[in-house]
Amino acid sequence: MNLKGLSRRTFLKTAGILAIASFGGPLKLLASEKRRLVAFPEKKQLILLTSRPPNLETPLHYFKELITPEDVLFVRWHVYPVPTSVDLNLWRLRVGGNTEKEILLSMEDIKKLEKVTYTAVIQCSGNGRSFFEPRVPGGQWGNGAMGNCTWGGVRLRDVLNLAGIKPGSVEVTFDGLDSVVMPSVPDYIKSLPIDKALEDDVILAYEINGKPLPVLNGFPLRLIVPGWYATYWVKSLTEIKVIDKAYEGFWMKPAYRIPDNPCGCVPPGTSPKKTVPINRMTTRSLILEPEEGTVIKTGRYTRISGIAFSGGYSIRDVIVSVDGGRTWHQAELGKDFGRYSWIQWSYVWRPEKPGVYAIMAKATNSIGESQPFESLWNPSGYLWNKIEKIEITVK
Amino acid sequence: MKIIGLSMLFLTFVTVAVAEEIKLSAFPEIKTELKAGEGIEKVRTQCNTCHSLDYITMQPPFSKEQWVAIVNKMRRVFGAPVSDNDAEIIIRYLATNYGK
Repeated sequence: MNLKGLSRRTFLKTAGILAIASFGGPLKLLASEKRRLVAFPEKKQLILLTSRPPNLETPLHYFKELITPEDVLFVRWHVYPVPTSVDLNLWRLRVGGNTEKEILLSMEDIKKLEKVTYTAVIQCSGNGRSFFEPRVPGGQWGNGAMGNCTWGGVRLRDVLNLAGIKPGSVEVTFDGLDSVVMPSVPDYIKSLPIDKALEDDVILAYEINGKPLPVLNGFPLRLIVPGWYATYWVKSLTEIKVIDKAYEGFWMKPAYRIPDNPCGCVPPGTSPKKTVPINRMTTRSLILEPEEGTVIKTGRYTRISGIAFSGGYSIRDVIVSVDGGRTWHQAELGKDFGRYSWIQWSYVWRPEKPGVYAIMAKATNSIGESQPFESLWNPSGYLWNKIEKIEITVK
Repeated sequence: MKIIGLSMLFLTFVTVAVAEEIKLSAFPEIKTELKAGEGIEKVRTQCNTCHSLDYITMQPPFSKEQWVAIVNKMRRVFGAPVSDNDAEIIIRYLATNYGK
């Protein structure tokens, strides 16, 4: 009896891992949307969304680790060609615009500035887009367009001060090594308001998890705007420009904008009247164990666990439900790695009766921001943070 | 254990050695099969200029109006040099084979 039960559980566990490997977790994908795994240079096998430019998603099981290894971190490029080689002897960062002088910095120059290191969640604006209903066009990400990494670099402010910011500066723009296949395609350039650009924690990172950045994640230097969506985290930087008016290139307007209201949402299928550039991340939690469809035994202690994070404010608490949201229990929080990092949570549960159980998790951050029970819709498929519900069976 | 230790040492060495100049090996060759249908050749040649064809197969089924909007965005925003005539063929192919 015991042996039989064990091998059955082992089989189910293995089947669960295979399902992740093929589909990236409990995505409700249509048959035509099956994903495959591919290994790009410097990366392990990731879930392929597109190959040119490369867009690759992290299989969910890697999120069971507090720090996401850089060789499995998701990859997201907008235009093609993307950089495939960089010679630091030739690479320079140009800093200019509305500044006292224009400067060219080598990596050696940059590394002379004070080093700043912290752990922060990086998340694509469109993470979770494939869960929107009605479905919306764009990269059909599941939950794998995110990661939690330790970034090391220098303050953007310190770099800007080397050039000397002139009065009347409004924004700062960022351009990288990726280029375009024909001149009509808009180059990927993003901007930050000057006040945001001068904040303490906005850095230019030359390290991820203590190592140089993989080329596909922005070697040799990328902008880090912790708490904000990764659309601003411009990769393989070449030029930073201070400007005296708002930048309105394609990737700031009309791309990457959300409805201008507190929820960033509109009735499904409609268009917002007014939009603003997407900015801070919404609060999210993710259930990593058990996996959808798991079968457990009555009376067996079962660990429900996952991660939670928010746009730059620590997670205050995570509550867990095993009865589809009727009753809630406080989850235990793991070690706090700072307000930009995700935090691990867990709740131990002992199911007493057989049946199908709907497990849910809801995170709240230190300023009271939480997650909705119903999805909030917007036409670009941004800000996904609906409370997850997974079903498991107790026998 | 010994083997793991050795391979880690090797990886460290490579990272240090190439720190100044990094050149990636070739990206994996990925072929995307489109559904057979009228107009497939136009889609293969025109759409493929700026992006791989998995940009199409990745999408959920869309209505004809949605495909019209997507193709128009490619032409008007990204400046894809696709003639009116070809755009019509491409839209018909997408709405027929990747429609809802």
